[in-house]
Amino acid sequence: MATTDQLHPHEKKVLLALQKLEKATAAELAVASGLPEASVHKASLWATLKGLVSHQEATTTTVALTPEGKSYRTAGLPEKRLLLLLAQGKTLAQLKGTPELTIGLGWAKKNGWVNAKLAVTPAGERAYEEKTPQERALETLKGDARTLEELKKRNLITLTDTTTKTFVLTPEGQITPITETDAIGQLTPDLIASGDWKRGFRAYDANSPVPAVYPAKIHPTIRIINTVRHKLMALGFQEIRGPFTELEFWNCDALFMPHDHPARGIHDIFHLKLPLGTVSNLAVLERVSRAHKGGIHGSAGWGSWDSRQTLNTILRSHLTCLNARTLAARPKPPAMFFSIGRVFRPDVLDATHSFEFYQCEGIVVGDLHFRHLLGFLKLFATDIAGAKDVRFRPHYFPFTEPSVEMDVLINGKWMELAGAGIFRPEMTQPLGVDVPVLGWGIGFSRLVMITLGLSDIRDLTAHDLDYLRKKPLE
Amino acid sequence: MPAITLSYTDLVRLLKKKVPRDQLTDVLILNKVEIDDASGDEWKLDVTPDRPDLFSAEGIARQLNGWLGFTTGSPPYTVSPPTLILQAGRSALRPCVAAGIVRNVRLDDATVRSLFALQETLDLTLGRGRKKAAIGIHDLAAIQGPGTYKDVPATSRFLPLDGNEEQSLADVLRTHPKGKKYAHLLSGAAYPVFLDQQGIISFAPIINSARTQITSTTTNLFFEMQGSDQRTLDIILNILVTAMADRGGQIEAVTIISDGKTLQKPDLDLVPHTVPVRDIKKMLGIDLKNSEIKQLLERMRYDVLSLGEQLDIMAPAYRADLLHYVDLIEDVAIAYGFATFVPEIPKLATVGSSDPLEDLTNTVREAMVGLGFTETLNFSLTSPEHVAKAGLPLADPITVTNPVSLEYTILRQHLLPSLLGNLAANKHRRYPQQLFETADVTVRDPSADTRASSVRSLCACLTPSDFSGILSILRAAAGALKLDITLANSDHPTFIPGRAGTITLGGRPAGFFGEIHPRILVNFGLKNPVAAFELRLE
Repeated sequence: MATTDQLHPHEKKVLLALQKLEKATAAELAVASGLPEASVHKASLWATLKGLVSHQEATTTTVALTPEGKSYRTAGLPEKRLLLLLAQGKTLAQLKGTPELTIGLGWAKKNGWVNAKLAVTPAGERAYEEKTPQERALETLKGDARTLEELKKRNLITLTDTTTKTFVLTPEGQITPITETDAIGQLTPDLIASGDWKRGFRAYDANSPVPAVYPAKIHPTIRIINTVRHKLMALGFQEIRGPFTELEFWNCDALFMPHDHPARGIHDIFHLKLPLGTVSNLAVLERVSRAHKGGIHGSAGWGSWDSRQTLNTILRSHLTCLNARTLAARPKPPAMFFSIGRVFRPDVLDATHSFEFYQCEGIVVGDLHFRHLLGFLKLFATDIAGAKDVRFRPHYFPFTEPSVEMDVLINGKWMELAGAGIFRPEMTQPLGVDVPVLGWGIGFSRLVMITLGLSDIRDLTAHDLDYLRKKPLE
Repeated sequence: MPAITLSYTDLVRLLKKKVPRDQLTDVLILNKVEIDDASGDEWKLDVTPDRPDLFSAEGIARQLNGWLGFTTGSPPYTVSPPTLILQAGRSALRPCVAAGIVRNVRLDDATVRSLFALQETLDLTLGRGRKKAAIGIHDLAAIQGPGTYKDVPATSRFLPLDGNEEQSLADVLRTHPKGKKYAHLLSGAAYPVFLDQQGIISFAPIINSARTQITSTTTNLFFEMQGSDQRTLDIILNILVTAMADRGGQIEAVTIISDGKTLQKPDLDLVPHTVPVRDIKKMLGIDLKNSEIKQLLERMRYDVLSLGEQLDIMAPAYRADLLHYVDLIEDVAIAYGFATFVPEIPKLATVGSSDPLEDLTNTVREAMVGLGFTETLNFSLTSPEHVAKAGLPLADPITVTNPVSLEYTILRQHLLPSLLGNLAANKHRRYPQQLFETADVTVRDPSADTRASSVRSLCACLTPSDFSGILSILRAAAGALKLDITLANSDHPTFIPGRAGTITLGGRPAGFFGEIHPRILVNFGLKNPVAAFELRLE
């Protein structure tokens, strides 16, 4: 039970006013309590939540005349005027085109005032003397529901419903003692300085409604990127980064993708309108072209090379281009690198496809083998994705051999999470690397979707403030 | 990955022993075949593109018969001596030719469906949509040799498959569905055809003749293919004839006379490879005896001739993917079983590190969140229309030549239009709203190797607010980040005149700020005043 201490002064005023009035509307309470009506609403809501006040709602209908209704109130309804004109000896032909005929005749028939031959009936005769329900309603703005509805349909009146709340005290409200005290609500510098605060404080309700506020936040996708970054750095990986724009040389050719490879076409790569670029490391350029034409490390090669296409600038379609650039700088083994960033593919945006999404890729350079690659993948699956189990399948990438794909068991479902392999000699040798390089890539957008429980890839770049504000920090 | 469809019953018929249905799908995924749908009899599968020999039930059965140990080593194909001669003339556009014959094939429904599906998949993949190679399959009984391949005039006539009447080649390109679809391959420059003694049997990359069409009574098949790359044609021919031989057919050679030289195709001779044993063990991290390696390779349908430090291996002629001995090492791994490998985490002494710009960006995020701003993410691609809506001048944008939507045709040079879009999308959410984004914008850069550079930027929007509101935030952020900025008044079309300025960072122009012009607010349907700044951090 609420104590008088917990009542806001406005609540007390409203309760005291209600004790006098027994039941009252907010407007009446405003007069009685001397509070503005908005404060009465707030105070009565608080008191309602405390169980001291309840309210009843009553709907009243207000009737108002339309301009047409107003004119009929003065001049009489057309059907009534029709009777008068007929009585004055006017013929229907003479009345052609007048409202008395066009509007009045229908109602006169409906009321039984004229018969099928359009002669005035006895009921019509009587109607001179008495007022119809419609006429009475037009004068008094009151009437039975049917009459009012008819007038509304005739567009002579409008009907407006108003709901009024009437507040009453609950049984608990009736027995709650209310004493107006001078207990302090808002503590002010003056009260602190004067020592006047000693007269005591009003108690506040722990469950009182307050406006909802939310912390500003880093975007959920970025939070996950940072979590994964930290895990990879803790494992000994160095972060690398590069621009969205990339040469076909680094995105495809250095990865031993033949120049007519389907994944280089307009359906898999965004091409940009830019002047031809350059590959500054001419030795690497020469060796990569040789690997393609056929003749490096005993490989047959592809038998072709396009020295112009390789210098086209595109939007990177994966992050392996960064790995190639990093390897061309010949890092001293053992070394491990990773990158997380946006990649681009010409897919039409829908729930499962986006033309722009995140990937996470990396390499391990050192005297390593295939089982080590599987070891890393399994570590990522359990440590980063929280998978319960993993499964490895042979796969194909133009730049790795052997190539592997990893499915992970998450929430009882197998899903594809990562692709990996040992870089082909046709890729590493031209870049000047003579030790094995393990390459891996995680479908990062998918990982984020799993982590955030999203089913639509478009939500990865969500900017709905309601979602961003309410999303807990996980 | 190429998608193929095959009949489960047909696949089972081609396997040498019975395999339970569940086990079959488990085995397939360990052999570069992924399962899309294996619920009914029509199985939908995805095969990795390096193994075109697995694009049909025959090839998959051949692989599984080996992998499961039912029949190992290279499949024994014999090629009968030629009875048909093909004179290959010059064709400028599509100079390469291959041809072959398979006799005595029982062409039941399953076989016909499988053959045509394989042809279509090969046309699409290895053939690169018939550009590199295009395949024709005919009823040998309808062909009267010797045959010829050459360019003929556009007025030459024949009755095309699925056509109603004899047509000129030019008309076929204009009116026949396949003609319209593939006319671009010839660009009106040449009309290559295969001819027999009665006329055209195939308008090469376009459509076969109706005369040599395969029917329910066909038992002998003639394969022809032409294109721009001989290696591709030979592999396609080998894949097709071995698939039909696996159905019981007898492969027969065709004599091809080209440039005065006489060749016989198909050439199904095994292809020699050598692999250092040491590299197999080192690369896979497993210790295998030579005899074990031999068994593994035989299960992948290779023959192993000698067992020393170097393995001499003979590979079947239908394999398209063997460029280097690492491709054979992968096959050892596949035979060993990807599920059998024991993953191992290596002990490496490496030190992790972060990228300094990513660190700076995270500090920026910390500062902006501390100032009460919520981060949004937006696409890097946008449209000139969207940029114009924000009133920003569009200086020579970098354009995508193959956009997927008119909304995403250029790389964004500024973040502000995206953030104004975010405010527009959140009009029904509670105010005040404070948003920021920190991401790369892309600008032209003739000195960069790609002729463009990414520049990490920060943009913040505040509403309802005004000039002084954003100025406080800008100064607070710059102060917290120790950014040496100077500000100057300067009018800008996005902002109210007299309420805008430029930001200079370390002596270089780096951004702008101000109170957004009501004209721009109206463009975005915004009803509250907005103030914003954008700053390039690099």
